Amino acid sequence: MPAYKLMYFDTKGRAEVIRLAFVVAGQSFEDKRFPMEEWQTVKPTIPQKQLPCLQVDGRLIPQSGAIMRYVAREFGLYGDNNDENTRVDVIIGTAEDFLKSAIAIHYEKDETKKAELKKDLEENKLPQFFSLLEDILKENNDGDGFFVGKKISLADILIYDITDQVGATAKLPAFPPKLGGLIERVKNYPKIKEYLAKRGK
Amino acid sequence: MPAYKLMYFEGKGRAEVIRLSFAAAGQSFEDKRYSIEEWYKVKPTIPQHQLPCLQVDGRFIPQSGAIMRYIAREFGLHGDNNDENTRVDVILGASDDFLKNVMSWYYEKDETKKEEINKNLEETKLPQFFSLLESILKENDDGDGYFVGKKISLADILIYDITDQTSSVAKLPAFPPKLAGLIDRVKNYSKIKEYLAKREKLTQ
Repeated sequence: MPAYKLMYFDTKGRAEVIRLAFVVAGQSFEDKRFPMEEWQTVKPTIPQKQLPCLQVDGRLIPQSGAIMRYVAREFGLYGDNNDENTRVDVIIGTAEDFLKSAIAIHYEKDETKKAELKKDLEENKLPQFFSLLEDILKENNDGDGFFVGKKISLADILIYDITDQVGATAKLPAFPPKLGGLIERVKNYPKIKEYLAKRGK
Repeated sequence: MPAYKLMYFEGKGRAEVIRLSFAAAGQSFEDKRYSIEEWYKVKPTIPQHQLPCLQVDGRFIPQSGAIMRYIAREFGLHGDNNDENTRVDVILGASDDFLKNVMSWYYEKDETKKEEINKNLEETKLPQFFSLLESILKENDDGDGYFVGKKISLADILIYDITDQTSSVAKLPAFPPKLAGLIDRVKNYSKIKEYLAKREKLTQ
């Protein structure tokens, strides 16, 4: 078994989906969290000088999108054929489109604009995103299982993580029915349930 | 063989890397290009109401990142194992990061700000991106071949396409040596060379 070391800051951010993927896979990893001062000294040694970065037996993999797919492929969380892999990628792409809005709020310095963006997120972007996820979910087993195939995948883990993180800073609309079921299914997936109990918020 | 229909607007944009991939794979496809009026009629029928969208035997695949990987996997352009797949994904991710700068230039309405972004693109972002690509390229065969493994992949095609499209909005710095070699290698890849020759003619 290779030695995995996931490097990030001490927060959820772009690393949490990867931590959750390792957890679902039942794969141990070193969960390295840099405080800012340490990061400044380590930064020059990290490819692309950004986090997250995954070290696998000494090799360094940058780019959260590459890392999450690498781990997903390694542990059967990326679907079992090209169609399923692609379904996962569609959901990742859709999530990225949505996250642009959430992230824009984070970086907006003007308080009035910030409030407007948050209102737009809560009243438009979030409901639209949930509605889209509901449609995508229903394409598979009428939405009564997971997003892709017959088992949990990176798609389910990512969507759970996004709702969790966005829900901490914005008021989420009610989940449409199938999406509500999916979120519960992920939270109660035994290895995830265990991890969330330890993690707390 | 399935029937492929790639739907986009007239123009390169987010579709060109997919067209180039089909070309490199020697795979025919319907290259559907909507005018704006046509698009408004078709839009409600397309998942996520966005282009590009790929239709494969009646199924729809939205999201350019998903489509390009689907085609790459289908035609051996995504590497041959997880490590190689990941190397392609790292290059896709690094490209997405860089393209944010081009997108912010594209969407900026204030002329003064737009010029500042363009200047920053030419003086800082482009040189940094090329320097990064040079380092990544040199990790494989000292940069004398392709980005991944021993054959052309989506990574090479995408980087060629980005340099081509960006050159029409900003002055590119000189390519570092290995990257320059890679760009030439892609342009001269026989099926791509053929495609580019036809594409040239269309714009004249």
